[in-house]
Amino acid sequence: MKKLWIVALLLSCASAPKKPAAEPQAAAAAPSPAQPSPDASFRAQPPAPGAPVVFQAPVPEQHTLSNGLQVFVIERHDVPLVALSLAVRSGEDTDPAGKAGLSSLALDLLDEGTPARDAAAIARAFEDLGARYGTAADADSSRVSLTALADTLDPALEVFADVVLHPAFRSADVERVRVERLGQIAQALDDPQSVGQHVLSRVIFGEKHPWGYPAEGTVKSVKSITRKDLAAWHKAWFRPSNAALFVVGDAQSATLLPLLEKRFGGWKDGLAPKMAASGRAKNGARVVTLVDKPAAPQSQIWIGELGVASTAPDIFPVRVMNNILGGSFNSRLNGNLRTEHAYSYGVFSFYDAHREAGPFVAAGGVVSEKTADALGEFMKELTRMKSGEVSEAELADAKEALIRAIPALFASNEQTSGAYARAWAHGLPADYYATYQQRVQAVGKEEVAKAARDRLHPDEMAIVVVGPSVEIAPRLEALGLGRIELRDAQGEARKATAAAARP
Amino acid sequence: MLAAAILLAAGAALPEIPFEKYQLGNGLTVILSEDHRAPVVGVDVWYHVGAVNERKGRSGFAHLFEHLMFQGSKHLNGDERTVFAMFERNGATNLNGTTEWDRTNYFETMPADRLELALWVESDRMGFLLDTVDQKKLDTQRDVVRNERRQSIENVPYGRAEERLVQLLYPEPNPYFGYVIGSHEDLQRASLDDVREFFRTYYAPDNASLAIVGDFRLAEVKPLVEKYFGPLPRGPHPPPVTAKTEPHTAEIRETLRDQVQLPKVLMGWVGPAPLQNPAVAPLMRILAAGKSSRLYHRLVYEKKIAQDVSASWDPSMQLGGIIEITATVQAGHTPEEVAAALDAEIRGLRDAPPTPDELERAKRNLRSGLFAQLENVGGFGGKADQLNYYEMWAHDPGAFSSQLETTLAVTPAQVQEAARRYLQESQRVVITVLPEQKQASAGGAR
Repeated sequence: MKKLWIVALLLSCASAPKKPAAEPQAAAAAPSPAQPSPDASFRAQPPAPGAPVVFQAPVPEQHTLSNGLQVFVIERHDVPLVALSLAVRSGEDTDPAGKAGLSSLALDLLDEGTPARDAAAIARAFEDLGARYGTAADADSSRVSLTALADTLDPALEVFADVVLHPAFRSADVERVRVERLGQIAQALDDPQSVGQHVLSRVIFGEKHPWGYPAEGTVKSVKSITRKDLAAWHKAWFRPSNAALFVVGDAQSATLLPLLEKRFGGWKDGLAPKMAASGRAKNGARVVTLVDKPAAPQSQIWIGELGVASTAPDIFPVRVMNNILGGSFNSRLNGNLRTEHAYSYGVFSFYDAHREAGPFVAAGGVVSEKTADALGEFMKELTRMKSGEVSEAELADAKEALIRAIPALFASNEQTSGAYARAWAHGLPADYYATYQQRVQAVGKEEVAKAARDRLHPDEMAIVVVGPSVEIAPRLEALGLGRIELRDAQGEARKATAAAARP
Repeated sequence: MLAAAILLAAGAALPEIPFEKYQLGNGLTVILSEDHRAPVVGVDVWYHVGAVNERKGRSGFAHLFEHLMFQGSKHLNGDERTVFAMFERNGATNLNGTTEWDRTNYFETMPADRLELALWVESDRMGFLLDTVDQKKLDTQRDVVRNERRQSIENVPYGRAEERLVQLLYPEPNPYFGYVIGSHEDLQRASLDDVREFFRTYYAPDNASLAIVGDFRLAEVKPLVEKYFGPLPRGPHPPPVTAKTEPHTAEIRETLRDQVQLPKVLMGWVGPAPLQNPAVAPLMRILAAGKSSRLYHRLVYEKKIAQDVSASWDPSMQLGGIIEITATVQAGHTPEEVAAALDAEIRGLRDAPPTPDELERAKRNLRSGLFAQLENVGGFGGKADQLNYYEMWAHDPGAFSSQLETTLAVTPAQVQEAARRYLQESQRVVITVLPEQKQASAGGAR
């Protein structure tokens, strides 16, 4: 296994550097007399940028198949690969009560058997063609993707369409995949990071909302899912009018579209089922939720609240604000908890924006004995951010970082098809990427301040800590952020053992 | 047969990377490759230093030092926030540094108009790091790295077992014993004197290669490379690596307890050094890549006794790359059952060659995986990394293509030979991880 140890966990950001005492120039690093001095005046300042790069995000050609399926195509002929992404605007949000994990389990089962092929035959078919197949289960969408070699696109598409349109959900396959899924859930429950994330979602969204559960479901819900549930979910949501296909790479529309028509044109539409509105829990007084991980050397701190929708009018000010707060290496949160205090390897914050508002999350792992201090610093930074005070330099850096990072989103065919598929699933307009840089550029200081004041509510944010409760509970309680409530790793209350954590 | 025809058709295209390589007067190897698909440029500096160069009592030092390379240098004075801010406000993506067993690298993907800025930062830390490094930076990064250790090994399921496997395969004084991240005790010992000595010994232009891949013109970039890197002085010749990995002649078995629900079996061997045996990569894929691989098909799909399986060889270790085969035990089954099934599959490949179909599939997937990696100019495993890898190990970035051809020409008999040579039971370490709690074996949550 490849082991890499890296400097940064993720991209995050910082504050005013202190002037360090200069060390004397090292003798061995000094130039020998014969050489010119390695230092020179041009090194004193960063070089000016070259001629500005005008980056225009690729705009997909839009087509419609005879059954109404929308197809978006971007031709790129530099590598002989074609990336496809089929997006469906239904995901975890369509998991019925008590059936958490249904949508992602259905996705997992697509390539486990069709009337024409069993799981082994499907796997072998893709592998023989050098094609890579994958699925992604998201909060309100599902994606199925394929990367194929251009010269074997048609046979790869045939298998891909079979898998997407005709999953058999045979009992034997369902049972096998269910056992694997239960194993994955067990493994996630052993991992403090995913426990922190999942328990935070439960506290924010509550037990009546599908987003209050892990996308992979719970032990109980996964056991209750039947093959009928799976087939019904697929039939209800995998419909051409609820889906779109994104194709990026070495294919020409003139030859591609007949291929797609042959494979997907016969896909029949149907009516969208009625969905019961799912209610989010009403928050009472804020508590600090503690999940015990005995003797753990680190605590995972996960803080959050309801965030924003992807189409919210202030989405761009919110993104700039989050970049300053915890969305880059050089952010306030990372600068404080990592660079100033060395409590952590890295902390971060993000807005998970979907068609409906997903969570805002600020999180990271901190050394156990500093859990309370670190949580205090998190809250301090969140409160400072809410005040809306932002420096010109912070604003400029955040905007530049967001704007200049856009071209990299389109570096590969897979990234490009994925980016457009996600944007479509999030209900964003077709020119979202074409106008992105302009919209970030237009964000002013006052809009960032307003976004911070409107969107951040540190006094009400849910707080979840996964760590050694015996050692950390007394000091967490002393912070006065709220009553300590114990839950287990699945997010269920643990009243019976609550006393154990008390000093 | 239809399948064979398809295989042949798809076998035509091989990924290639055009490049130009030259050396500056100070010995810095420069590898340039134009790629105009997107207006970005990947910059990637490889220093030929890693855990393999650490001395006894200083495990983890090469990686700790990597963190210090982000704390500012003479003309970019400040701390890691200053360095990251400079990069981020100029649109750097894929910005990071990594330390492995034998090398350390620093990379960023820049918007094409900001390439010169990356050359400015990289040359400044190559030439002028010691001007600003100080005790506070060392102490802070020591704590950050100790947190990285807690987060990546001590507080993740099976993390300590992975580390233990390496310790048993590469016992002290082998420098790989420290697992690159090192021990808390050794990290505590690292001093500023160590930092200065390490920098002077290993962080010199003639111990590094600089790869630049992306949307630029060779003629415009060459003078810039000379301007920023040309004046930096050569270093001393770093001491040669004298450590050796002793061959294992008797199986070692250990059992560990961890806070996990499912038991896991980990098997490790010392495999070949880089570029020594082209059959090992396909062998690993035949074992565990994809759902039609032998281990997945037998243990996960048919017998349903394993939750997941993996097989890998690390192609970047001069003292012998670790081969690791693992399986997580499915609820209701035992590690013994899983280990026996792993043994049977591994024995199968020692006793008979794989089928031609299996081998073709493995090669095809190696190739399409490479195509996908090469879509990125920089970042983890992108084009710049590929060029630097073959420069380091073959002294020729073009070995990317020849090595690929060699791998695609591997025969079933060579795969069997590799299994016989590297996967003997007498040469291995087996670690069994059992749940810590006394609750009923696997699947306590069921």
